[in-house]
Amino acid sequence: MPSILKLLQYLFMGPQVTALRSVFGKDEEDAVVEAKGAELKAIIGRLYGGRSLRIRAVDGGSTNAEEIELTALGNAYYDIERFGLSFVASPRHADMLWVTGPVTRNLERAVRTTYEAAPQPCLVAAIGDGACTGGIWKDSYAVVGPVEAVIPVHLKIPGDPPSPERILSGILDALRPRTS
Amino acid sequence: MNPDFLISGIFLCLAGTCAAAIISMIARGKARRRFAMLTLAAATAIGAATGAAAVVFRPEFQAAPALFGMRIALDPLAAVFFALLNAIACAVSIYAIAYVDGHADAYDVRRLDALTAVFMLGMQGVVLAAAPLAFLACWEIMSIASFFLVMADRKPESLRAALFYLIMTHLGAGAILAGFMLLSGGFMHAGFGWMAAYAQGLPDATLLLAFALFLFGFGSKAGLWPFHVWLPEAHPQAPSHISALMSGVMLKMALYGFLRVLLGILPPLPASWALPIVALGLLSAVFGALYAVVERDLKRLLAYSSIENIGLIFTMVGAALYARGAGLPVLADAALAAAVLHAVAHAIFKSGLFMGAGAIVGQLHTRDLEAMGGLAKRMPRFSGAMLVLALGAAALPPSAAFMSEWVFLQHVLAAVRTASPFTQGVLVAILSSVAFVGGLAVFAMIKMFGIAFLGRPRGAHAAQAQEPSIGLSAPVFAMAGLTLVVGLGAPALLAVTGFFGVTDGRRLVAGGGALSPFSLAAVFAAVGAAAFMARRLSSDAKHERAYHAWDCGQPTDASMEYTATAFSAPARFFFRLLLRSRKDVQASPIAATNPWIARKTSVLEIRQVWYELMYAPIVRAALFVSTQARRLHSGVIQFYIAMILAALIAALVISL
Repeated sequence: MPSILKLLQYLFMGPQVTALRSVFGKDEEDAVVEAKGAELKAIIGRLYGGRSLRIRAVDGGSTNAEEIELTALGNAYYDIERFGLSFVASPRHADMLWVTGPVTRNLERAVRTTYEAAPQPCLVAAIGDGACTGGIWKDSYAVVGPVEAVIPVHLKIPGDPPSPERILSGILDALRPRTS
Repeated sequence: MNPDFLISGIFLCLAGTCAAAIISMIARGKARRRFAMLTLAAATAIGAATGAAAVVFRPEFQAAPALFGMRIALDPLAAVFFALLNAIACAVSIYAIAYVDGHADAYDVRRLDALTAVFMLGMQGVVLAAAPLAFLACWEIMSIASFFLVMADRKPESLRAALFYLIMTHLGAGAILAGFMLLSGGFMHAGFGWMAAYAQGLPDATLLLAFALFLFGFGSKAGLWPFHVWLPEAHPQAPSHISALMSGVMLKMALYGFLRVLLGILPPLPASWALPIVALGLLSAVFGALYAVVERDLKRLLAYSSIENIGLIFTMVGAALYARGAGLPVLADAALAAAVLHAVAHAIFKSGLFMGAGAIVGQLHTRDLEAMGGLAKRMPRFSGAMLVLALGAAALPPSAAFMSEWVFLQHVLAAVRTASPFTQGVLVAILSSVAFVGGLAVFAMIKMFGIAFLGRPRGAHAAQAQEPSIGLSAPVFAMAGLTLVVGLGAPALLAVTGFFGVTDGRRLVAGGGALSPFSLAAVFAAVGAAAFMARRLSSDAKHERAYHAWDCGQPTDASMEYTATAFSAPARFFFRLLLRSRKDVQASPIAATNPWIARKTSVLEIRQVWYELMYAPIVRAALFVSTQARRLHSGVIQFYIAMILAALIAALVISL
């Protein structure tokens, strides 16, 4: 019995396990993401007739920093699926490719075939400094170059790595209708 | 039709075959050997036409001339087999021109060609023979010619296979000889008709003994379980056109002999005697199909498929005999019709498959399925023909084998309803086993075609394969065409051969149901056309773009493909009690620090269970006896003289 009491005491009377909302986030930041997300949702709804924008993420040789940010986009906090963006498992189902990292020689073929395997028209976003310019691996013997050197790129989202919010804004800026 | 035409046709056929044998023995040079083979093809073509004419017009041979005990005449049964044998032989002769030219360094060409002609002559003689002596003489010509043909490349394994074949075929010939002796009362010149009359008066025990001897004799030649062990050794070792002849035609000669004895000589037998035929037939079919599924050697796979088909044919013959004895005449007729139709179908598709295998092996320099693959892209037309033949071997519609199995199974089903309980049991056993074998046959043929022709090439030779030359592919195309023609024309063929119980001329009829091959083919064609049209209409060709299959960014290669071994793994697993296959995986560590980094080699051994169980003990016993007998050879001359004296005294004691 005492051990159970000890456990209960630890659980209910011990230090707080979950941080308070005010400790890790600010409502203003949330509001920015929510606003951008809502706009994005409206645009995607218009562009794709109510369906969502399907994304295939391609690792072209990144350090995984960008991948961590892409994962964050899908977590409970950002939850981009509610804005009509979703990751898919095959380029056959993709409307858009998110390519990360400088394209290494070993993954050049993978990037190229993924682009070829996706149905046209297919948007390509280069995400991260490596994907945009080659970053710190520029001109390395092991690297083909930025994503541009392998497949056409429609938008670049720089940053090493770009934050989830910056990725969202990059996509939004690219999809937003031009107002002349 | 005037029988004189047919008699001269048969004479022309025999004379042409003889002439071809002589010409090819003395001819030197490519042009002359081509002439010899064309002579052979012409002679056999005449033979095929004569046989077909005899089937269609059924002339009365009143005064047929005789030649060494062979009556130059064809009764309906002989006519079917004569036409079949010569048709296949004709295609094989054409094929031999290009095939043997391509392998001139491996074989003694003149001897090979001459023996091929002699082999065909022997088989023609077997069909024409009207007396036991002539029958056995021709049977021996056929056996010995094929023995030399099996060892034509003089490799040690060919020699071994050929000797095994020689022993088995002579045990069989001995049994047939003994059977004929019993049935003719030792009067071997008597015709089969006389023997039939004589056999009427023989006691049951003699008849049973003769029946058992014939079952062993013809069964061992036909490759019936458990006398089949020589077949998958000998057939693949022979040159491919000979494999085609042996599997396609020579096995049918055993069937012909068995039918001739059963229907023409032996008096009506009790139903229970047919059960061993049915049992052996079903066992052959099951084991042949099982081994065909797990086999990785292309030609051995085809040989096992032959065992399976022979098993099915003997099952049909046994069922016919059983039904006759059990008072089911409709089933008896239908089963016999199915057996003949299946024999025709098997002869056609199996000789085509063996000739096709020869063309492939000639280019790939291996019979191993694991080194093939991707041939459909390299040789699309030839692969199409092989696909048709493989469909025939899998007994799928609209091939001829499907029609024969349909007739057989439908009649068995119809008979089950009204038969007595024991007969019902027999029929249900037949039904379920034949269904099982049908499934395995499809499995084996999918494996053969899928592994050899589809996917990517698994070897350098397969990657450079070319469409075979016209000389090699034309006979295969002809056989593929014949498979379809016989399938579509099955009702007409059965009507012409006189099996009116199972056909009305346009459709196959069985127990209230009917099947029109043309309607069936039309349905297939319509479904295919509809699928094609739907694809064309529903696709948006303007926006389509061809790109290879999605490979996850990683290039695919042949090592990722399904192999023949892996494809048959489920069958090996489920039937491991029967197959006794054994897999040895040996791991040798590469890095001393980590035992998980190891080079692994796996050896899969498919054992010849029946050889080990039934033949190896005999071999061991024979070796033991002969080593013991060798002790008598002491080298002392006085001892030998004493032995001679003892033998003399023993002989005198026995004879006086």
